[in-house]
This record gives sequence, C-alpha cells and structure tokens, in this order.
Amino acid sequence: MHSVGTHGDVAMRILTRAEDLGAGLIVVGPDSRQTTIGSGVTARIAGHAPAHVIVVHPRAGAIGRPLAGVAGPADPATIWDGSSPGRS
Amino acid sequence: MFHNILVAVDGSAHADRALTEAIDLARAANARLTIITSAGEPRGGTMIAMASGAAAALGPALFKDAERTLRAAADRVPDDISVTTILTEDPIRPAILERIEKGHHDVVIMGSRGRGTVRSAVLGSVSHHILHHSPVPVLIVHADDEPEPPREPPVDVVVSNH
Repeated sequence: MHSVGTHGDVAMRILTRAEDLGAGLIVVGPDSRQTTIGSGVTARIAGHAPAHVIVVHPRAGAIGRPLAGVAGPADPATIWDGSSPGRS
Repeated sequence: MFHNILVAVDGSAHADRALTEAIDLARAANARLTIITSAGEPRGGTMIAMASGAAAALGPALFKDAERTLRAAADRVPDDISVTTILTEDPIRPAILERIEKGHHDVVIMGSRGRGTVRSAVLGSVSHHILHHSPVPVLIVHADDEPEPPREPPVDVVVSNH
C-alpha cells in the first residue's frame, strides 16, 4: 500500500486546472470531515483560488437550499462522513 | 438563481469585495439583499484583558465599530436594490447560521478572510466555519492583494480589579 496523493495535491490540481481554464468560479462541496482552518480540499481551494469559490451543500436542490423532506442531518460534514441515517 | 442573499461584512477589503459581488448578484437576479455584521466579538487589532467587566467595557466600542461598518456597507447599495441590515450582538458564526434559517436565505456571500484573521492566513476562521456548516451555498470572494484599508486605531482595554 502506498499513498497516491494528499488533500493538498487534489486542491492544487483543481486550482491549476481552474487557472488553465481561466475559470471565474469554482463550485465544490464542503470537506468530508472536520478540518483545521485552511486544511482540507475545499478549505485550500477557498483560500487559494484565483477565482471565487462557491461551496454547495450536498443536500442542496436546484436553487441551493436543502431539499425538503430529504432525510439526514443538516450538517454537511456529518452527511459526507457516511454517518447519515439517510445515506444508503 | 438566488433570490434572497445574505452577505457578511466586517470592514475588511475581502468583505468589501464580497459586498460588491452581492450587489451585482442582487441586481442581476432582482434579489433581496441582507447585510449582517456582529458587535459580539472583537475584531483584528483589538486587545482584551479578560477580567471582570472587560466585556462590558468593550461593548460600546465594538457596537459603534460594527454600526459604522454596517452603515458604510448599506450606503454602497444602490437605491433600486432591496436591502436589510442586521447588527447582531451574538458571535458572527452562529449569528450567520441562525440568520440563514430564519431569513430563508438561499446563498451566503463572504470574504475569504476578515479583519480578525492573521494576514498570512488565506482562509479566515469565520469563512472556514460557515462554508462547512451552512445548509445553503457559500460564495467565498477574494479581494485583490491590496493593503487593508485604513482602520480605526486598535482598542486596548485593560480592566483592573484595583
């Protein structure tokens, strides 16, 4: 077993690609676990992006607000870590 | 498209840029705009001696500072955009999250870091908290790398028990 990358690598690749494309906006989900300030893919992208960054809740509907009636916790970090009872 | 925008300001260059984007988005989407700031915690450059009475002593100064920040932000909003201002005495993190729910906002716009952030940090602690806990999309806006605008002199509060 060997490491194939780190959070920093993922963030760097996304940021590099965004810069190559001249992107004006980067859309990402929240980090999958609680992270210290500035760590985690999303936090790194939000901190270093050459463009604006919009972070979208994993339960969000078309206009951004969480969909009504969808089971599971409101906290995205809890949803992504697999502990949501609504997750199959 | 967003219809009900919440933007957090604290007088920093990044927050100013966030407000600019919020105004542009509100105009494009014919959306309502709500500007929020907090007088509930000290900002960058404020030193506090945590002793009895310190919070009470600092309160009026923080409130005036926040009020000034909020008024300056509201003055930047053109007359044709519906704007609401909120000055909360609660800490800004829970205040923003509570306001998202109560105000039925569909997006939050904020600067990547604020006045209270160490200059070398690329993402502020408030932005970090909100982007990980907001139930609605969070737009993180970066200001150009310019010097911070002049600010009021730091408030030094020392409370003595003597």
